[in-house]
This record gives sequence, structure tokens and C-alpha cells, in this order.
Amino acid sequence: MTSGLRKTHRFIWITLGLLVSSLIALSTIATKKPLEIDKDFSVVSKHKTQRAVFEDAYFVINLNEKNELNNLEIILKKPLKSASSLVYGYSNNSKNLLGSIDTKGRYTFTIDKLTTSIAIYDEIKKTNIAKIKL
Amino acid sequence: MGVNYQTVLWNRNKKIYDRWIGLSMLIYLISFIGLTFITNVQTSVETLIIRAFGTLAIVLLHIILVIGPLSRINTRFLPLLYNRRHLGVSMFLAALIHGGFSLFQFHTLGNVNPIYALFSSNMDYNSLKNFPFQVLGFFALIILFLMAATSHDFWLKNLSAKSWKRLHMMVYFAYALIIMHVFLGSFQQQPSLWSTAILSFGFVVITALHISTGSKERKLDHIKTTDTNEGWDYVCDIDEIPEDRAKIFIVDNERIAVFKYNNKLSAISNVCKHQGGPLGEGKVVDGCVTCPWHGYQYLPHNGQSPPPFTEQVSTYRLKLIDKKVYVSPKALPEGTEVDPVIFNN
Repeated sequence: MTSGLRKTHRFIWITLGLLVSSLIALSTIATKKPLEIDKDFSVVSKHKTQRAVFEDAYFVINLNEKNELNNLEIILKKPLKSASSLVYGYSNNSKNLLGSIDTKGRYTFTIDKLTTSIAIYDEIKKTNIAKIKL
Repeated sequence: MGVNYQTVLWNRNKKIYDRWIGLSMLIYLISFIGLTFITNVQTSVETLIIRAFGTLAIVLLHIILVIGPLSRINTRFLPLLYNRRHLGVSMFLAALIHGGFSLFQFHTLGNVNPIYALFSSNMDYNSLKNFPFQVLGFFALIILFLMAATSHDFWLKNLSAKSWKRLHMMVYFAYALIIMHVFLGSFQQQPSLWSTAILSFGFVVITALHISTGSKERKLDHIKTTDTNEGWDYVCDIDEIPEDRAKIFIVDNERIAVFKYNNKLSAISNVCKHQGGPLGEGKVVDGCVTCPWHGYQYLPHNGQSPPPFTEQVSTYRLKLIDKKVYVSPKALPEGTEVDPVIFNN
């Protein structure tokens, strides 16, 4: 290797060392959920007043009933196979999109008093993953 | 070295190394798939293939990048350097399977071209949380493809050593893209303390080894002789050069290799024409200086590769006063015949 090439290599690695390590630090800080979610996190609801609605291998679903609106808590215990999972609320004849769930963790949605059931829906395969009465 | 180009230049050593590469890759894949099935039975086959081959490609890339500096530290790693090209092509194939399956799983369900979908499905370039990380992997794969496709000596010869080297140095850029592809992709979607720590450790080790060996080499480049004799630079005493080996000496920041063989002394450039290997760290085999990297050979008295090969390196004049070896710092044109200095033991 010539001295010029040696200099170029050294310059490249010093630049990579500084640039990539900064980006690694920034991306780690920006991580959506704390790194601890690798461990088994608590599936017990944070709110003692909540009513347990449903539990299986994937979900723990609780309802926190309030005066005007209710809080729906969905704890996803492990990732779903579907790439896009949406949560719908059903009341009488209407169907409302509440939001989406992806990685394992705790999700909270505000729902009205008339919502009687929810569905977790695979948007790509157009099938219900779960349908739960509240 | 080969006169005629063949698809792969096999020899016994290469066959043994390639079998080891294949076997190691197979063991890794079986272990990864087995462990995943034990720990997560819900995993789909597509996801398993994507992850198994993606992690395999990253492991191989780290091994490839660590071989260069390790060879500078210890010559026992030179056989790995000799076979690094096949490891590079194997790594590209693993990365291609990872990329191909990812494209198939994530971008073929829509009604647009999968490549177009790859670039258009997520345009959130301002976000680190939702950065379109697949684009980084795509560009890294393109670089790895260009490198694998031009890895043969046919391309080294036809692109010129300088252009070929520039193209293949893009592996460092590909490495940076791949690191960010993982940190902004899978580590964002499924954060894992262990995976983050392992990959960060790998990056730190690779970078530290390259910078430390580079700095050590740079210091050597700046060594200047203090003993000169009428325009001739003192190299060393003749006894300091082992038989059929060389003493490396610095002239104007460039290295030359002074070889001792059959009671003769000759000096040539230290830089092999093939891939810039250090000729001075090689041996004289069958009367030819043999590069320790890939076995390219040069005649010590004229810097020419033995016929029918055509590579040539610069030569230098030497003189011997008592037992002291001196070199004229002016490089002669490549392939210039210089009478060796003859000495008696």
C-alpha cells in the first residue's frame, strides 16, 4: 500500500468512527420504547380501578370506566404476525378507528360509553385478529 | 497468479478455506434457526430467513473487515487475507438473500413496483424513530454487488488497480450504511439491549483496530534516515537482513524492500502491483520475490514479474560499504534492470 492510500484509509476510519458512533448514539436515544422491553414487562394494569376484560397469549385488555369517556388499555405481550394491526371500536351500528398497535407494549385509547366491543384487524390480510366484547 | 482468467482460481488451500466458509455459514444458519424456533415458535419462515441471513451477512462483514488490520498485527492471519475475496462474495450472497426476501415480504403485496415501493412507502427522512432504513440497506447491497461482481482479477486488470481499489474501498461506506440500517431499523422496531451492545462492540473493535494500525503505519512512513553518504541513505547492516527476506526502508514517505538472497542484495518498491501488498514482508521463492498477500511474484534484480506476466515495480540502486547497506533514494523506472550487490559471507 502506498503512503497516500494508508492516509486515505486512516482518514476514512477516523471519519467513520466519529460519524457513525454519533449516529448510533442518536438512534439509541431516539428508540421508541426503552431497551428494557426485551425483558418481561408487567402485564398488571397501572390503574387499580380498571376492569379486566380479556387476556390470552397476546393481549391483556382492561377498561377504565370514567364519567364521560372510558379508557381502553391494550397490553400487547408479544409482537403480532400481522404487519399492520388496527384497533376498531364498535357501538350500535357504527365502527370507529381507534388507532394501531405494532411492537409489544402498552397502548391506551379513549372510547365513548356506547362502545360495546373492539376488533383488532389485520389491514393487509383484511381479517380480524381478535374481536372482544367489553 | 494465473495466465488465463478462470471463473475461480482454485487451489488446494482455497478449496479447504471455501469448505470451512460453507460449513461455518451452515452451522450459523442452523444454530440461528434452531434457537429461534426454541425461543419463539410463532416466527414465520419469511421472517426467520430475513433475520438469519441478515445477521449472517453482518457477522461475515465484521470478519472481513477485521482481517486487514489483524494481518498487519500478526502474519498468522495472512492465510485469511489470501482467501478474503471468497468470504466477501459469500457475504454478498447472504446479504442478497436477506434483501431479496425483505423486498418480497414487505413490498410485493401492493400494486406498485417493489423497488418504487421501497423508496416511496416511507419518506420520513427527518425522523430517527421512523427513518426509512430499508433504503440504507438497499444502497449497501448495491455497493456489495458491485464489489462481488468485480472481485475477479479480470476486473482488477481491466479497471486498473487504482480504480479497482477505489471501488473496493467503498466497502467502508457500505459498512456504515449497514450499521445504520440495523440501528435505525430492527433496533428501533424491536429494541434489544444485547443486540445493540454486540453490534456496538463490533463497530468499536473494527474502528479501533483500523485506526490504531493505520496510525502505527503512518508513524513508520515518517521515519527518516540520519546516516547519509554522498546522496546514499544508510539502510542497515547486512547481518540484519535474514536470508531470502527483506529489510523495509522508508524513502520520501514511500517504502522500499531490500532483499538478501544467494549472496546478493537487490532493492525494489515495497508495493505489489496487484493489490498494494507489502512485498518486503514476503519471501524469495524460486528466485522471485513473492507477495505475502496473493502470491504475485517479481524478479528482485529488475522488479519484473517472470514471463508471461507483465507486472513491474520500481527498482533502486544499492551499495555495500564494509557491512553497511546503502540505497540511492531515487526510484528507477518500473522494471529497470539493476545489477545486484554481490557479497561474500
